[in-house]
Amino acid sequence: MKRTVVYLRIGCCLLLLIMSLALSGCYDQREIDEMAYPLAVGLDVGRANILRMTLQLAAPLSIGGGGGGESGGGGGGAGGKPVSVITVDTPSIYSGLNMVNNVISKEINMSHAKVIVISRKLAEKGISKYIQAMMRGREFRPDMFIVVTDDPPDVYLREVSSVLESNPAKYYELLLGKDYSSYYPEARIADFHHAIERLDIEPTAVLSGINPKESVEEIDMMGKTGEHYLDEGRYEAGNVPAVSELKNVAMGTAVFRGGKMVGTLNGIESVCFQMVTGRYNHSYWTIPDITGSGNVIVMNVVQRKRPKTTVEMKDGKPYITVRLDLEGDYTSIQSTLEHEKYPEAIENKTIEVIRENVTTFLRRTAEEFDSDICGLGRFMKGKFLTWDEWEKFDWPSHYRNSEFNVEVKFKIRRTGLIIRLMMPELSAAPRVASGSVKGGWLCRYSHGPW
Amino acid sequence: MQMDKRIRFGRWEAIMLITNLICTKVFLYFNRMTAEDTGNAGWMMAAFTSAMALLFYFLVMSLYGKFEGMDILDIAEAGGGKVLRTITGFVLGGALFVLAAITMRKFSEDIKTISLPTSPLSYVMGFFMAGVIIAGLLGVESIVRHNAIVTPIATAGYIVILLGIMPNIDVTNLLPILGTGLKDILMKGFYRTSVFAELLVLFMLPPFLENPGDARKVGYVAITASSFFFVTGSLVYTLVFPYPTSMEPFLPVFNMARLIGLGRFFQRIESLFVFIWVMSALVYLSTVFYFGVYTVSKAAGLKYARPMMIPFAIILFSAAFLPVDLLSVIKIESEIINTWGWAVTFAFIGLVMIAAGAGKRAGRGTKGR
Repeated sequence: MKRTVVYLRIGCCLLLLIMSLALSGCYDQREIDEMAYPLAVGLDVGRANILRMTLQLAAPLSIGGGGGGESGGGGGGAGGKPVSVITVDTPSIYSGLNMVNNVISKEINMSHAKVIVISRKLAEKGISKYIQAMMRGREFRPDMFIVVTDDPPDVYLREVSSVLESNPAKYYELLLGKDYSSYYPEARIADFHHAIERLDIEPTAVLSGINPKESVEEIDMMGKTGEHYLDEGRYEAGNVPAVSELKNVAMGTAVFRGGKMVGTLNGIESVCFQMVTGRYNHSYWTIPDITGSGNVIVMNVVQRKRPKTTVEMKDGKPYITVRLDLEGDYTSIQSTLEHEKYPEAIENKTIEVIRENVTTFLRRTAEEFDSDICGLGRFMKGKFLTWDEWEKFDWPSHYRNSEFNVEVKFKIRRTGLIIRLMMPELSAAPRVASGSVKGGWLCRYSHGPW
Repeated sequence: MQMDKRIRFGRWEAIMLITNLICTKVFLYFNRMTAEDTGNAGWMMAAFTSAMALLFYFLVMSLYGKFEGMDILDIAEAGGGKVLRTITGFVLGGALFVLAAITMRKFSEDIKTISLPTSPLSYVMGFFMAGVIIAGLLGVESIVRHNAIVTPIATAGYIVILLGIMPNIDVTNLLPILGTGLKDILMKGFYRTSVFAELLVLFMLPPFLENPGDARKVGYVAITASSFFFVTGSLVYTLVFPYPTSMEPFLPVFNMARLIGLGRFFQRIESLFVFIWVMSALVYLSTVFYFGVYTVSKAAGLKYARPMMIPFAIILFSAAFLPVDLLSVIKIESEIINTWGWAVTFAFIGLVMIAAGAGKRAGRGTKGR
């Protein structure tokens, strides 16, 4: 018995020794500094081959050294830059990785890739085959962001610079995953892949582009709007009136049907898109003042509850009702009227503006894109008992005939840090006599009780 | 068969052992299998399957009353002599052996796919084999006590994954509510009671239990706990992966864990999955292998099972290589083990008990006369 215990102990020690050697030093051993980590993958239509693939590789020593010139161009072979870009023409993504492995000294590992950038040209041809390859791959992460750009991805990825953030990976996460900008959706590759295969929703991607403007003169050349303001949400990536060291701009949404891109949404339509899907967080809305003075009211609008959506079939047509429940806080009131005290008119105006925008957006998705990107079909599915019935119904063929009814509930809750403004001349609007009533709304300086 | 006769363990250890044996497949393929069978109504099928398993178990245990404290081989011997004992032992031992071989191959293929892609399969399998052999040599007590530690940890890890994935759920994924139809839920749900096939280990446990009468309760608790994990697992999986995409993932829980991202700091939770899954797998293989060898040894009338461990491990290692590829393993798992497992666990054991009961009565009658 004693001998058996001794043998067992010796056996266990030997096994531990063998395992510690076998597990740490054999076949799958990887040294972290022998790997190259792409942070972004660009896909475009190839010229010398089917696909043009661009990898934006992290230069870890430059990133670790604080980025830019701080590291003194130490590592990564990028001359101090936190990233290095390489482009190959290839028949497929994985063949491209093979080719890149022939060029660089380190083995490519995709496990830190944050974003896939697809050219509009390729997106319009269809990208399902590339998406499924990435979903099948062990190294590609399902939470990678998916971006479509008008510019060639090789140019785009060379222009992307993260001035405020030394770590480019974090830069992508902060830029594309942030919840305080509603002008583009959060689009992940896993959701995109699911949406391609589903009948009740279509995929979307972030629309991004290079802002080529180098000086404010170029903004001047974009033309004037006179006294009237142009809503900031009307822009799309690439034509935003901005001059910056940061060249890439994310603004808008790329709309797909199946795996093919069929159109784009601008910033404000992207806001509407997120409101309807319940992913809207908050953004500033600019509402024209009810006096028609050219002044605006700016509000921080948040989604109070997830939208309630119902779909009814009448005469073979889907009638879709979307109920939005929103609330807002004043952030700027340019006029002299006491909107803080009597917010109803602004609330009604906001409801009207939002309803109009959302309805127009929904009609575009149905009539122009024929693509149910909001997943309204999900609310139709419940009317069927089995999957066969649902498939036979063929929702995508019905969606284009949809009629939309948007109901908006909106309340102004807070006024910011100021509850009334006592400035005598705020705008060019005609002065209204103190204490008088215009259109049912009291002018400022009424000194009336709250 | 004298081995381990003095070894006793309690109800808790037995419940953990059986629950882990049944539930390991949740990590591997169960959720995908329910989606393949009934579309987005997989959770309903899981609930129906669980209810059927409870019913079958109740029926089998109603026959067990006369044999309280005996394992299935002793019951077979009591009713049908050594011939029935040998047949029963070889059938059950064979079933456990097939389960061990297929699961060993599947686990190793999974590890190769997600963690050790360039290592040869035999190398990966070698680690499992080492664990299985050591566990077999150390005996049932080590296996069971190790199980009592591992199962709660694996359960906690699994629950963390289910909770972590909550932000990704979409309730409309459950619609149309009946999935591919009621017929599929009932028909496929019936033969998927095979997912409880590992319950047959329970029928070898009574001699080891401190209170042999606990066997009945252990079964009920283990089936209920497993049902909970089957139903919640399938439900959450359907809520996260819409049908038909839900039929794609190779390792459903791993794929689910890959989607978890709570802020910038709580990401790549699949590493937790690999940890709990490998722990659970090793314990599963050790248990099934041990009881397989023990059952065959006892059926063959051998006094000790321990000398059989290494030879059987070598056979197991070779048998695991019989399926030509991963898809063959999945096919065997889905179309044989999880389709006909119920025939061994419930039908065969039920028949043995009926035969034993009849034999016992006949023996008593002859004696009386």
